[in-house]
Amino acid sequence: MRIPTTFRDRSDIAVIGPRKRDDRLSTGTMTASDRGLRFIFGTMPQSAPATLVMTGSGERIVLRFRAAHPAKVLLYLSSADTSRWHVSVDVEDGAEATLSCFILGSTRNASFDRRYAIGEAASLDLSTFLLNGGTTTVADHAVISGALGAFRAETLAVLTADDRLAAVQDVRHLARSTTSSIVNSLVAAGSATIGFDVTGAIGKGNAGSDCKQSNRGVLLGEKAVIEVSPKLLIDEFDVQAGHGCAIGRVNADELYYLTSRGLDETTAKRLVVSGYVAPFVAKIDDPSIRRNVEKMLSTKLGGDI
Amino acid sequence: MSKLTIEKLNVSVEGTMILNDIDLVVRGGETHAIMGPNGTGKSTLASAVMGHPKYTVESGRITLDDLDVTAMAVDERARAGIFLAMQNPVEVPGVTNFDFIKTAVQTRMPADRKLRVGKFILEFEDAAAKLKMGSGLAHRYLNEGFSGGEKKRNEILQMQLLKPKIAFLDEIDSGLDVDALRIVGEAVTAMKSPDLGMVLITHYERLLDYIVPDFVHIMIRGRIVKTGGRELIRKIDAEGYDWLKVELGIDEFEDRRKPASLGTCATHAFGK
Repeated sequence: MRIPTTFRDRSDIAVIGPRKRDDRLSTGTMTASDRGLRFIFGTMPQSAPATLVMTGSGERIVLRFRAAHPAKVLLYLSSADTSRWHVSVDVEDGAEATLSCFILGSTRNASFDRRYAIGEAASLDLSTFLLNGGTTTVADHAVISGALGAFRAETLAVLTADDRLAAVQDVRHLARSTTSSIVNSLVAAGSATIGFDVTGAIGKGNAGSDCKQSNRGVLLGEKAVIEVSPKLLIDEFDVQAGHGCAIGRVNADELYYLTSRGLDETTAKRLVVSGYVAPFVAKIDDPSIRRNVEKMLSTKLGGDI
Repeated sequence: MSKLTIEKLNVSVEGTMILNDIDLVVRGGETHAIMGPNGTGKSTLASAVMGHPKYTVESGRITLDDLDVTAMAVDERARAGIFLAMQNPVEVPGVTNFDFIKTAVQTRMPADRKLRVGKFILEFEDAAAKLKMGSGLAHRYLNEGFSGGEKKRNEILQMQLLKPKIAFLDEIDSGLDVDALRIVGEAVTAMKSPDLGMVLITHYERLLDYIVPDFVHIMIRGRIVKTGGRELIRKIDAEGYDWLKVELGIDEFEDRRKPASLGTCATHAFGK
């Protein structure tokens, strides 16, 4: 798949493909070994996020964030046919990391195994845009092992046609006063199927921790399916925990209201869905990437509402 | 000058008749007020004209000029020129007020023409300022977090920008304080022109102090039982609707049978 110019034409970037490795990172380092690619960020100040562009049939990647400087990374993964990606993210004690993951392309079968380790007083803000087609499996496992560690993950998944997505998200609080937040916004059009199995666990003794989950889904196709299974495993009294899940079709009252102003049903549904994804997309800092994602969403949903 | 004609309109909800043989003609430049006790079908009439899918037209027809809209979809009626300022405007999260109104305006434009966005922004800001809606309205999500008064003013704002031929204003006065009522009243009055016919649905005469109607209709049990001028408003204000009992020989206004479903106003009235 062709890499959008928005992602490619950046200065602080590494582009990894099946036949090409172009390391132009200025705020991070890349080293390659038999065990995969290892990146280190947070050692230098950033004025803009560093970008990693990876294409092909998959890689084993380690992203390590150090505490010297807050670091932002855009990770762009695009593959065709079958691919397997292993991403390990280590956020060291006191480090402040932001990782935006864009998963694109049309795959027959893509799997993403992502592991996150959050140290003491460290934080990871993770946003994932699952905009690829085909069959995808995602396994996210986060371990917050240091006190005051925080893991905040937001996912937007938009599936059309007969796309399939099966995701497992698992967060373990292994220290006191840790925070996790998982927010999933899911859109299934056509006969797409989305399944999310979300678990938050606070072990005994980890008082003062806060574990939250929110799952919203909108079904745009008669045959579309979204299934979410939120779970909380709490073994400590002095904690906060909560989960919510709301899945449904486009609200009939909203449709009536919008059509009463002259919008045909298709336009009205598109507007409702754009409103559904807009707050998520609005969080993309870079205007050119934001526009690009909006365009991709519009193209992806164009014929399926 | 446009003309909305409602002829022998009978409307049901889930098999229960709500409107019976409604006849009403609204011409451009005219302002009609429909008054009546709770649960008599006033909001249902407005919704049926707009084409709400909950309501079934059993017989009769609705025409806008020479166009029979009775079987038309909601959006087609809207583009033909019918507007309903709703009693309970719906919140649409994530959709900004401006994007929504801009899209609605574009639906009325020929395919080969594009909206001049800069000019439209000025028009939007001007209309919002006149309704004292405050800055930032364009970027707020549609009706989300709006106060009751803001929602009603937003309905009037949309009406101003969409320029309908016939507008129903369903209890546009509810939720408005005295100052907001005056602002809305003045804005609606300023819109009076031969190009716009209006139907005000209200329980109270106070709205009609600001928007003076040409015709007043009283609706009871799904029928328009009396039509007159402003003298009816004064009489209702002074005596309520009881005097009609005697005049029309109606024993009780309120139907003793609990309706299956009525307009939002009526459902509140029955405490559902």
